[in-house]
Amino acid sequence: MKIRLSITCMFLLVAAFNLNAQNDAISRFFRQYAEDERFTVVYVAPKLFSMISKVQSDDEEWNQMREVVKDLGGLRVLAADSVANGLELFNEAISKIPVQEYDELVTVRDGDEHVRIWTRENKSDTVIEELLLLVGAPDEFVMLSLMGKIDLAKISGLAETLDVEGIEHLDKIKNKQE
Amino acid sequence: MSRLHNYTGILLLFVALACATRASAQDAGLFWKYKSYDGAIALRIPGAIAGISSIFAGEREERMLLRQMRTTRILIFEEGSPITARDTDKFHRKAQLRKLEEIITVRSGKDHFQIMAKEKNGVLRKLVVFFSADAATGLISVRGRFRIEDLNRLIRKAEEWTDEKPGKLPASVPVIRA
Repeated sequence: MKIRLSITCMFLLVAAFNLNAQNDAISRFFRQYAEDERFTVVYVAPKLFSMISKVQSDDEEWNQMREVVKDLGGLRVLAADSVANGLELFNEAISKIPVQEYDELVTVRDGDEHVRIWTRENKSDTVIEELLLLVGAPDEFVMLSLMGKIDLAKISGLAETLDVEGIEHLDKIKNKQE
Repeated sequence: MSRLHNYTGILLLFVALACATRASAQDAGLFWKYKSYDGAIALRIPGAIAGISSIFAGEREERMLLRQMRTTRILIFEEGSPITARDTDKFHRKAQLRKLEEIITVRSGKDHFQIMAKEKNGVLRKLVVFFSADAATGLISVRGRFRIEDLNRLIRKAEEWTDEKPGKLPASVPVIRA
């Protein structure tokens, strides 16, 4: 009986570890380059999104944006636009991130520039929980991770509102949907 | 003997008050450590001053916001900051202990910008802005009880100001005719 209980406990621990592993890989990658001065690092906490969503305005654009950000759970951006090894970083990111956990949404290769967007859905397959964007070019690298309940139809509007390096690549989702 | 007891009581009260003031002021340890350093621009604006200045505010919404302000601390170094990395780490640790949440962080090259906030029941209790760049390094800390509804009212008012059509002179403006 005790052995059975121990096995169940171990199984639960392993399952919990696996659930966290995918986010940890991204966090580790961010942390690895967070102090590197070649990179621009942006972190927007869920708190800011929840505070912004409470701000009311008569502005139509703002209200549309409020609808998008109210369920967002954080944004992390790691970007570099003058690096010598952008493609190496892109490949390193792909090797470290468990991309098999994500569904591929967009893949664009234009010359030396690679853009890939992945999403991760929750168990009910109705809501997107995470959006991951990777851009790699010989002199550019962008990694963007957006968490929370994400509406793909509206998310490209975020690129117009937020003036964050690399976020303009979210427009590719809109282009894909069209 | 009873008079001596009275004096001791008063003395203890003074000591307790002084300790209490010091303890509450320690929340921004950096300010107290560096405010007397050479080149420091250090300002501490008590809540009472903000309250008095609210008399001169033109709009009700502005007055409300100023009255909700408590102590504001500003510490800026324009030419070379003496703030050490150890003190910055200590500041972040203390901020976490005091439940100040990081809401936005941007680091680009050597420039670093961070906003932290403490919010409880929809009331913004404290806002701390920490920045470090070549031009200046500093800290701005605002304590208060800012309600989201009051901020919304101020935003609505600001929208009304911007919606007013410019270029239309009131009828009573005197005109010099040649």
